[in-house]
Amino acid sequence: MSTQTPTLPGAPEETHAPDARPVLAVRDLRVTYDGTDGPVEAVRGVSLEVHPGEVVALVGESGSGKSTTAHAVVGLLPETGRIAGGRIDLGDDERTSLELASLPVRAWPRVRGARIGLVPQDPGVALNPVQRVGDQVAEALRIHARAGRREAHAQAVEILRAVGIDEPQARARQYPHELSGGMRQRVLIGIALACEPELVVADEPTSALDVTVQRRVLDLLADLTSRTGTAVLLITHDLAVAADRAERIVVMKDGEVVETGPTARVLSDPQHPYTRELLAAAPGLRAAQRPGTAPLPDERDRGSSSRVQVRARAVAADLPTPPAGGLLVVDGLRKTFQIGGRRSGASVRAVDDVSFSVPRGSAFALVGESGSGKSTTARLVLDLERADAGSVRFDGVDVAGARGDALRTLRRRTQLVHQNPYASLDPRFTVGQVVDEPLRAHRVGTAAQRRDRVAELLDQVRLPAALARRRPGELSGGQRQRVAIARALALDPDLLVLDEPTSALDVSVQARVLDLLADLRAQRGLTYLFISHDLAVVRQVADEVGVMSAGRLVETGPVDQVFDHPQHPYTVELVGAIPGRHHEREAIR
Amino acid sequence: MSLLGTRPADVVGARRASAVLPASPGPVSTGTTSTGASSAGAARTTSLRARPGTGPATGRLARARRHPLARPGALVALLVVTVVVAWALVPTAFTSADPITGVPADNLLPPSAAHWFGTDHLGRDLFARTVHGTGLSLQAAAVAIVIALGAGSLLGLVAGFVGGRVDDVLMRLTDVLLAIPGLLLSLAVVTVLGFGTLKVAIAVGVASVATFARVMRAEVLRVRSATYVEAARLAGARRGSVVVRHVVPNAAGPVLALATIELGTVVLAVSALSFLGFGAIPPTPEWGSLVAEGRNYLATAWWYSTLPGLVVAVVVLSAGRLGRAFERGGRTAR
Amino acid sequence: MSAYVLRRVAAAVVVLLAAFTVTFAVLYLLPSDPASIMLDAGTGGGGVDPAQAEALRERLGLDQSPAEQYVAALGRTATGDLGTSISSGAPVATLIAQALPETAKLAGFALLLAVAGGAGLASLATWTRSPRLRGLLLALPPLGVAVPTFWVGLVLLQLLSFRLPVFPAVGNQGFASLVLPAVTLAVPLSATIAQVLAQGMRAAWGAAYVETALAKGATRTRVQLRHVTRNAALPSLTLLGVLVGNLLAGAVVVETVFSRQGFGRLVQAAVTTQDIPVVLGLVLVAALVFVVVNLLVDLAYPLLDPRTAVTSYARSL
Repeated sequence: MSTQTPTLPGAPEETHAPDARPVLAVRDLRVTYDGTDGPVEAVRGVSLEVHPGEVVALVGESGSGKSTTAHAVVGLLPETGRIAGGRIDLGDDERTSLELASLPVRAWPRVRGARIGLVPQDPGVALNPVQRVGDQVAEALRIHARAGRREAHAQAVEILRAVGIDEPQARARQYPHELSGGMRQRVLIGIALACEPELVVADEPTSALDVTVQRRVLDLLADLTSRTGTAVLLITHDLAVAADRAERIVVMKDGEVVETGPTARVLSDPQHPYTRELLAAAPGLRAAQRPGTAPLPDERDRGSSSRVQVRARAVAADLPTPPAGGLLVVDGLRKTFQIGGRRSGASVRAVDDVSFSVPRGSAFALVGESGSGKSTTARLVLDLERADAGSVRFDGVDVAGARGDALRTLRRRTQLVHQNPYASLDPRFTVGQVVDEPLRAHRVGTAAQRRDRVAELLDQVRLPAALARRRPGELSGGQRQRVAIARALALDPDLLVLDEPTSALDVSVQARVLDLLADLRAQRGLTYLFISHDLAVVRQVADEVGVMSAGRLVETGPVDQVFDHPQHPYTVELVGAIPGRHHEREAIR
Repeated sequence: MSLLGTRPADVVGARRASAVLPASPGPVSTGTTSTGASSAGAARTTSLRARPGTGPATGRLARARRHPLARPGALVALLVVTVVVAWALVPTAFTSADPITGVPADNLLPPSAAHWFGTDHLGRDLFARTVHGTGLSLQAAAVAIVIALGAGSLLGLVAGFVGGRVDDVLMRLTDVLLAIPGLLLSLAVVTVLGFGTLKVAIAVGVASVATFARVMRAEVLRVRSATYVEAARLAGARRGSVVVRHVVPNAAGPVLALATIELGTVVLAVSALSFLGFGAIPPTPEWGSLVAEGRNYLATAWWYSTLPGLVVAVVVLSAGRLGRAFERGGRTAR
Repeated sequence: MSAYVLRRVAAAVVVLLAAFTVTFAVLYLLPSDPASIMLDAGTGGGGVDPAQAEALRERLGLDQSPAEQYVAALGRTATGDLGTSISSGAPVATLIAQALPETAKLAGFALLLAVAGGAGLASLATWTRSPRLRGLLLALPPLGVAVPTFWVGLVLLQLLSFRLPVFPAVGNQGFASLVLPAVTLAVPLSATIAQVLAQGMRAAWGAAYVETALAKGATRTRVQLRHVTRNAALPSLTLLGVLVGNLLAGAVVVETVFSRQGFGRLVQAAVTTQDIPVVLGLVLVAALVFVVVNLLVDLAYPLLDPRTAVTSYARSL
């Protein structure tokens, strides 16, 4: 185990006995896409190995080529893509080994499903909506003649049972939309493993799932593959997931492998600067990182996040103790939604008796999984939805009672940063117009003064002033979110509601935006209401946290206290599901 | 939340979209069906089939080259439309022959260098008649489009923005208009208004109002619920300013693209009505009636109805091609 | 389930009622004097005899208030009485009943050709991996919707009746006389079907469940047949009403070109003579056909698409 010697990018790592053949060996793989401006190389000489029974994680941000690599391995590149060079060898047995890079299209159906399984990314759309679940599992068996028509169905039910689906008989007759996301991903795992392939490629198998579901699904995948000895190539953007689940990690950037090594070594002693950057940016792993080991490049833009955080905390502590009520006081909030039309009478209680208080200058986070009511609560606070009961008081004024000018004043003091910066900016506006809009609407200053203010705001979110003339379509996701933040700050609000402000961004970009938010809070004494599903992020930015589940606020308290000593059973489960914890525990041991 | 019924709603959405398709046998406006489907599709292509990130700032020139209007097919279509519009504006620049009075001795001559489209039974040059007929045909099409676009967009804007009862009533009205096949609706209007090219144009325009109203309403609803509109409201922008600055500019693109696509449909409908004998009164040349006149000489003079009809086909094809290019251009700009 | 059926039927009746109202308003209330329009057309524009006009007004009930006229007309229509033709004096219902069977034959055959052609083209275009074949196939539908129907008919006549006398040029005699009109009518229709289906199938081929199926080891043919076709065809089904309506409208042109008797010729003749009662009756029948087809599609849809099935939908809540 030569963990000390840095591995050269692309060179296979000798962690296994030299005579053991890998089940998958990718050598110098090149994939190009036909773009409108000629071919674009998405994968540039990637080499990696997966040994029998091993779990290898392929980690990278969007555009790194990890997904393309995975699709090349299963022969499912989009039509514009093609393998331009290299080899992909499948099989640890000389006699059955197969070279996939040059495999003719005709031969693929015998390989896929039988020798390589695929667990796709989004279980919401990966099952045929008009075919019964059982038939879809059975199809995998029927295609490879593993069973006749009748036995296939019986076996499909057994597979459903094996992937932990209750009442598999009944479920087999249901359609995908009748199953939850977690259940659908279980079905997809069942399909991938139906013919007991040598290798499973799991392409971001849980990025569309809630964190508690994610953990259970990944546990299942680990359990089943270890039982059958199936090797796993796990594609993920989440270094924490890779840390928990993989024996080896392959880090990709811009179509190249920048680092390969055993998980523990990559995490404790990253060789490549990019790996260090990723590691520093991964919120779940920051705790595991030894302080001072990772000097960050480009200090000005990023700041050392931990330092900024300390500073923000300090400022918050310096402020005079908040008045008993706090800047934002939410009391007994309730909201019920009718679903499926008025007549069907079904309703969902989205927010159920939620009360909390946010002191001036502090950051309060609402965490919960999808459907927990956290976003609805935020919308109620902003008066974007009408509450059925309860009150929202902002600086002592009841938000629901405000009309006309009073409402406009309130709106001026509370601003929202939306989740998706790709949707929250009008594509026809320039960046300058976007940031100017609140100033214009409230008739602040002359045109020239407003122009100066826009430049000042862009500077504050660390965007070059020249960007003011660009349109959102020309900006990256991180830049767009900075523009949205600048717009929110334009009217000097007191409270900023941040609705999952970084969930649409890559981890390294996320880290920079979070640092910016921490800085801004420190500089301007802002109050944050932070909505997130990502507990690791919450831990990093918030002072206090409220945990929501099924519309109820089940636990509130200071962040450290809630996360280190969760009281409510749901919080215990949620905290336990944070990826990166496995690894942390092992590191301590 | 996905379990709480977004799936059935998706299906309803898709069905709604398809119901918007024009009721006349024209080029199917891919825009109306694709707006619903593309949003779901787009999210996917960015996630799973991760394309290599081409930098956000690629020069203006490269973008211009990639614009759908820059494809060869679209350029040819643009050329055709330009030439035909020129025919309509200055027909005498393209032919010196008289479209109304012919040389009886030269009747039913096949196409030649002197008579590109041959001559008719009265010895009139068919190319000249086609070129001179363009003005009337295109005028009629333009009138029809203006009526459909104007009335339809207004109805759609009101329905989409006011919502509630007004929306319900207006949409039921468009349901009814869509329940009657476009050509029959036009014929009913012609029955009342009487015959003539302008009346035919009005009739065709009325029949297309519902399509535009539907698309405009869908666009207004899409933009109105867009996150950037919510952001504008939160920034303090007033209702009127949101409509003028955000809703109308963002909704206009697809509706204008539809207008280009519908132009072909409308040219077809106008020529069909005048083929049936409800349009221009002879001897005034007009595309549909030219083809109708040739019916009696099918066995002896193949060019008589074939060549003017071919012109109609080429123009409609080009208009459809351009419309799709606009639509795609609008989508990539977004 | 029965509540769903009732609601659908009620909605269909409302649309039909509204169609009647709109058409009635356009034909009887919009013009200042329908009687003179009709008489004017009847005499070839040679002036209207005031006494004659008065008699006709009385006969049509045009001397009554618009509301009374509307109620009376609605009452008669509800009992199947569509009034009498001005030009021939025959009951409108009888005229339509005589014309419909010929047109139904024509439209049925055309629909068959159009569905087979359109679906075949769309399937082949999305199934093939050859970009050239796909490009060629997908270039056809825009062509199909761009060519004027009357022109296609005339060109077919020229080629297959006059040049090569394969099919008869005119008339309603036998199957041979049905071929050219049906093909003409099917051209724009099949192009529409091909465009809609090809778009749906392309979307389905890009869907994640297709990738899942391919990852199971399914061949392209299997994916096309088992996964793509059904998912793409379901939404297109809602187009059926519009398509059948288009067939009736197309019949006006096609029956004129091929001099066939039927619904379309009746429309053409009625508009030419500005025979308002006949036009009203014909428009109503077209709307009725559209509404009935759509009702059938709506009722069948939950049986075909599990996502909209009432029972499973309720369970998913």
